[in-house]
Amino acid sequence: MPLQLEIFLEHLLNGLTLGALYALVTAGLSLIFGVVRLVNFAHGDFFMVGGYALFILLNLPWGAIPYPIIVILVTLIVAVFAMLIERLMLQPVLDKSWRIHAVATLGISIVLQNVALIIFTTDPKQVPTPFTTKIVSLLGLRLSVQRIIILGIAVLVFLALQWFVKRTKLGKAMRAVSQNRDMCQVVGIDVPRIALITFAISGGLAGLAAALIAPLLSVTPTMGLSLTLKGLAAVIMGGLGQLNGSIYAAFILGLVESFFAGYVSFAFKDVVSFGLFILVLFLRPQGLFGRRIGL
Amino acid sequence: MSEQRLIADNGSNGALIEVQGLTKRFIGVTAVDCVDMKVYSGELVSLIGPNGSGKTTLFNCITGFLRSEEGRVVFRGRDITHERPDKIVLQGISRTFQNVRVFPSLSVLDNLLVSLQQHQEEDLWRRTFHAPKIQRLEREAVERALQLLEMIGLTDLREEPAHKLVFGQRKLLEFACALIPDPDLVLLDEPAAGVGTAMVEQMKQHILELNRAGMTFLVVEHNMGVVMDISDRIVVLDHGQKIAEGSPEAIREDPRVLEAYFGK
Amino acid sequence: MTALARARPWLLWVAGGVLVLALPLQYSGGYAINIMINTLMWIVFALSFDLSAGHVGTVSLGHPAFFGIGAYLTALLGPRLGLGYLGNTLLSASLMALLALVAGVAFFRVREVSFAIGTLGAVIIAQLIANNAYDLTGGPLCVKGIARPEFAIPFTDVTLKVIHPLQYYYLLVPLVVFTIVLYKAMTSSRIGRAFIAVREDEVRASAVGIRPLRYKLLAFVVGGGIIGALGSFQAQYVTVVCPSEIALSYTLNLLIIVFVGGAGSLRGVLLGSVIFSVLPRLLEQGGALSIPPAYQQVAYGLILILVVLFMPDGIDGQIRRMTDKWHRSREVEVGEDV
Repeated sequence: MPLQLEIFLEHLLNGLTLGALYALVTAGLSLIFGVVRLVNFAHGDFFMVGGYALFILLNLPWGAIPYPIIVILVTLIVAVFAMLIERLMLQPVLDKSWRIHAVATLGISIVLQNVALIIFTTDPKQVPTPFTTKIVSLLGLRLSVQRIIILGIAVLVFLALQWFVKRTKLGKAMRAVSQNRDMCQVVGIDVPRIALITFAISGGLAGLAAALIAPLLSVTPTMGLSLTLKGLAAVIMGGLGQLNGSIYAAFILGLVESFFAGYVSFAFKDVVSFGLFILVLFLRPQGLFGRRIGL
Repeated sequence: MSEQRLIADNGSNGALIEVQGLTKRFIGVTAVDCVDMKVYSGELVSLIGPNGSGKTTLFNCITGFLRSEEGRVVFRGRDITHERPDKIVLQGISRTFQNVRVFPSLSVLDNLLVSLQQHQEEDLWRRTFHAPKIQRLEREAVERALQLLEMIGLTDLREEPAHKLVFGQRKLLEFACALIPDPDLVLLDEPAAGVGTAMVEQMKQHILELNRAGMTFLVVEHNMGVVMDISDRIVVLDHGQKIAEGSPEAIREDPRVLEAYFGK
Repeated sequence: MTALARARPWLLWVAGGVLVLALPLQYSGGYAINIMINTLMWIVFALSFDLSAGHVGTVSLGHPAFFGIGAYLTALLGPRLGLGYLGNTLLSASLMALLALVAGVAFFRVREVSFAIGTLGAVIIAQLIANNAYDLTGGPLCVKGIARPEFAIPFTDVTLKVIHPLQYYYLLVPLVVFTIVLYKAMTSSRIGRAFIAVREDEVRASAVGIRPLRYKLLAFVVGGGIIGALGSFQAQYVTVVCPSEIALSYTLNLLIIVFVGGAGSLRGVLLGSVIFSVLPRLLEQGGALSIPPAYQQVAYGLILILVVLFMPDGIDGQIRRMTDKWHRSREVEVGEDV
């Protein structure tokens, strides 16, 4: 295969992996915003919590657990963690303004980051899985099995999410709450319960992302912040509260970043992704996939 | 521009406000479909129609909150079709909202003052530094606000933040806010909805008294008793189209209206 | 109302003024004076942020950009133009006001959350550029050796060079006074009423003749200008400007000060600034215990969460509620007397 094509495919694959990461994070943010109108600035830190959970589970003193079980455990741990955060700190302020939400979740983010810093120090923690170093040759392209797993599971998760939101009773209830909260209370939908479940799903997605993708990165206390910011950018680019739109936007960001870093400049890759975000904000304030809402 | 104004003057035949062929489409729906109507100075016109017939949308187009696709709105001979809401208010069209909007953390008195201050001529610098002229204007505004509070009976609550008022009181406050700049035209969106009979009666009396004193009203209302009692003229909308227009007596008998409301 | 009660606000301001002017003479030691300068800077920073966030309700998470870019302007243009302290400050202030105007026109197309996050994106871009545009900013190596302010004293040949922190303190006081007066004048006038109207309900505000964009821009531009001036002061005070001056951590600090103190209230923001800048240092000093930054940050985060949960109007709201109660109980007593 010509070298140029190989490089192109390499960037494409990187972009898709990055996109999958952003998309898993973004989907959670978008669900929370859609259902309870809350912008969660601590969402990237859920990913960070998952990263450290993975680190601990991989280094248990009494021997290793199989990786697939670890993935499930990390997902569940972060889901429960998100539920705890919602119940203890956010539920009382859910009906307040978005300003209060922003301050509360930023507070949570600061606490999580610094508690992690105190426990784990700033040293980046490597979390290799058995699959990160296993390389297969596909169409003449050498790639790690971990990446194939990531892309495969990401696709499955997004399909499952579609099915869940569109077809299941719970998913329909979530959509109903997102459209008209007051009306739901009237017809007897338990809104606080729906909010709690939304946090669980959204935390679970962040945990899953951590279990899958942290092995390609390394875990640090501050890694959540940039993920939160990219995720929020994607949520707005996709159209606030539009689940699918935000997932597409996340992949767009991942690809743009990967190609720009590969072909133009690594240092300025974030300038381009945030620049793209702001451009979309100016040109299509309602988001790439959003509809303009009237009075 | 002046030519256009001239045409408008001729076309409006002395109407205070004239809506010409106004059309507003949402995705897949034509909410207001080529509506023509006029309101003359001193009149009290009611706009009625089944739910979703486009009454509030028409209000929002007239007051600049929605952009109509076709047609014109001419107010006192001047085309105001695509002007911003804040500019339209300052020309003398006040309105209330269906879901009652007041500023919750401002006091009752401040709600009234903030509704008048933009109408009083002044510049930014003076407004910042409380120059004597502003103090005079502010005194006048307070005086006028107190009169209106007396009229609607909220004088004792003037220092309370508006969120402490009950629904009916908020409604009266919003009504007073619409009146305080002494507008040429007042658009009321369901003034009698959601309040008790005593309050409906009070609202009716206020509107009638002000109308007798020369104020022009365009009212959207569902309470037919109120509509029949207060209106000089009624315009009926259905599916965004004007299907009838006339005196209360004529509308009561009109078969098209009965059909729109009750079906065949 | 008794004469004393009527005079009390004035007395408070005079007492505060005397304190601000006299305190550094008492404690002119290096550590204390630095804390005091820091406090004044946070007062200016937080008030200009609160003008938008607390009154008009537009929370720009990108406010540090005006500070950092204002500092860079002085660092990069100052030596070339040779403007001196006042010239540098005014230049940064006017250019940052202009930037705020342009950014405002662009960003106010979107509202609330989108606005907040859009401005956040902008400040990240600004920081990345400061970090990576080596030719312009020197990147992480910073711009160093910025000239200290000099003042020629009229009718003499003497030039006063500002070196000591104490001198910088008094150099900063006029900006603080200017900010407080402007803040007070704007928010307690008809403009302030329009600000609140815009914050509470933009649609309703338009319906009473207020153009929301105009008032959002007004608060944003005034705030941007003041912060630009502050950035210029910072550059001439520490004589080094680094990319870290455009830091997101400043945004966090602003949120802590404004929301813990009490958004939209002069007293609240002043209290917030003082508590935020003085308390941690006092703790360090007094207990001789040095609190590692991470623990400090955890405490900040917890305070933010607790305030949001239990004192949603901040310290100022709490004080107001207490004094209200006190006044009410007095009224009742007086009423019984009569």
